[in-house]
Amino acid sequence: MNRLSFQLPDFTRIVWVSDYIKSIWLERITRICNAFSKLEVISVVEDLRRCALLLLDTKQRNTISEYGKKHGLVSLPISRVGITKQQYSVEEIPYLGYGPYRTRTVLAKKKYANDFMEAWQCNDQRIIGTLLGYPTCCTEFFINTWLDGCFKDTTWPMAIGTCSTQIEEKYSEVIGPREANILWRWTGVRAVPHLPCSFNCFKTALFGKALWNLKNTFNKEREWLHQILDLQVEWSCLHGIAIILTPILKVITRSEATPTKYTVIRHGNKCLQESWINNN
Amino acid sequence: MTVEVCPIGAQCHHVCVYCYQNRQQTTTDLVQEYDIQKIKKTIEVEGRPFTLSGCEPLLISKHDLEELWSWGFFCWGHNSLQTNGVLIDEDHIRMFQHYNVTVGISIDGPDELNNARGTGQLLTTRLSTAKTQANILRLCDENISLSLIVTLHRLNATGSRLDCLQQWLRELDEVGVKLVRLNLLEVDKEITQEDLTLSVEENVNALISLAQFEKTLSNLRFELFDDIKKQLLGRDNSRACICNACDPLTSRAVREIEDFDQHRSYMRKNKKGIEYVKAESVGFERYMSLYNTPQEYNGCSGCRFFLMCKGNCPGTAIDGDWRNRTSHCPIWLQIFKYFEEELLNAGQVPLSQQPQKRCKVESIIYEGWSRGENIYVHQVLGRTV
Ligand code: SF4
Ligand SMILES: [Zn+2]
Repeated sequence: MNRLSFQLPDFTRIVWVSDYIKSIWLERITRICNAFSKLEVISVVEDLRRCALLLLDTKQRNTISEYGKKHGLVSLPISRVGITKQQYSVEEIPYLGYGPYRTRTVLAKKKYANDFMEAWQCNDQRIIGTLLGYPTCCTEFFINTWLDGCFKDTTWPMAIGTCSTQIEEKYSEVIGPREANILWRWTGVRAVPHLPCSFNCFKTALFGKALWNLKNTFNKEREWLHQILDLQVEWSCLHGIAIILTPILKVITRSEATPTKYTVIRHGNKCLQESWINNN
Repeated sequence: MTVEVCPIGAQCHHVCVYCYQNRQQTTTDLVQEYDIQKIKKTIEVEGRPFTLSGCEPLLISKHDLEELWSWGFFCWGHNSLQTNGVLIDEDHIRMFQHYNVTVGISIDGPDELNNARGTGQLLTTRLSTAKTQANILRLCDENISLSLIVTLHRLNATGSRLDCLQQWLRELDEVGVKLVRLNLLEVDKEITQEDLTLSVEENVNALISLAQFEKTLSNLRFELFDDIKKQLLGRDNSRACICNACDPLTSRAVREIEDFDQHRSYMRKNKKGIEYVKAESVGFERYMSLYNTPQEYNGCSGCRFFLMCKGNCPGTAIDGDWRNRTSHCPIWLQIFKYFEEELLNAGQVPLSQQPQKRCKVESIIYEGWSRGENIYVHQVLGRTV
């Protein structure tokens, strides 16, 4: 991917296809996001993974700490970060020592807490990834693209890494399991906490399925999540701006400053079914 | 800046060959029902005067027009309307006077010069044009505040047609028309007939010829030229926008309010896909991006007219993608240069000719955009750079 030398400030804006659709789906999306946050915690309690990395305000920290204790987990603060007005932000806002903040916290099984803190201090991404339950392929992808390649939007490298994809120099059509569809993350909707290495990463699919099936909770949220992730998405990136088109909303967000347009289409349902709208 | 209100959306009795709204008509051939009370509520939220437009707003019943305009007059003391001028009658004229309605008429010239704005049939098109011309004179007689929108294309802006246009404008000058807005034809290969579009040189020649012609007139002014000169001098607080960094997601200069069944709207599509509800927050990413992107990649980096033009209107962007600069860039470049020279000859130094000052202003405005704030050049200059 050719990239120009500038980077725009972090931003994300969302526009809906109609107020009516927004009135229905915004609440559902909020519920999906809340369910996901809870599943991140439950996944450690239920041994799906050893640690979870969370961003918590003071009230949430107390709740999680209490909850963790009850289940033999420890929660350790790592750093404080400032609060951004953006819906989704790639960059953490540094905490300046005053005003509201959130705490980056690791929630871990007791025996893994030290391992995590050590790995965090040494910035050992492979150990961190393993402790967080991320597939090895995705951790390697993260190191190569996000860290070494300085990509702040990994969509194009993901498309390149996707097998059975119709790919031209700057255009790619992909299919894959819904759990590896990370193109909704700017709205908060995601099936997995990591950035998948491709749109058909099998390990991501397994991890996502296991996460959303934990304790058989959040069934309604899972159903909505599946409906959303199965919708057709078109991502395009030009001059540092990505536009993500879906049948219910459009996201405009900071991306890679490419001189020409790159497009990824993830095939799916092109419109909502009436039953998804009316059936609460 | 006004709110654009289109109660009947894209409906019109005309099928102008280059009309944007016309593209939507083919997909929405239902008569949309509108709710005047809901429209009023939405305008109230915007808190700004409105312009009644859409394809042909005079298709709205007179009763509803009266309700909207009497309310607009009560709230703001004035109203405005954008129309093709064909349907204007005595009742409308009474309302224009009573509710202080400023009328904008879209017409590309007399007789065959206006054939692109037509009914689809030559005879009725010419009849419509004649009606519009008569109504312009009538509005002048009645001292109604009037402006024209003229789009330049092959039927009115080259050779003898351009002479004919100028002759007609001279007559309008004599009867008291004061303001004409010139538009460049939006190039959309799917709808714009190839033979209507002008080459860059033809566009530039037409504009420069009209700029020179303007000097021979007594009353009539072309808003575009005034605006360009003001922009070059950093006086960007004028009413019109050749580019005031409009956000394509909220379109601050013109915000359309249509009243339609929201339930259906997720299925409603226009040529470029789904019509979206406006974004909740304003953003200036288009302008920050164009400022940084080299011109060879359809950006504006390094252009000395960036403060005045900002890549121009997102609606005219290359490939229909607002992340690119306008497809009219080569025309604007030459026109900016023309007026830059004219100002220099008159002893005024445009901002485009003061590189250090220009760069300082650019960086202050860029900073503002990155905070989500649109700072105008005149505000920066007011603070002394
Ligand atoms: S003249 Fe062209 S390059 Fe300059 S700002 Fe306008 S569109 Fe951009
Ligand atoms: Zn993977």
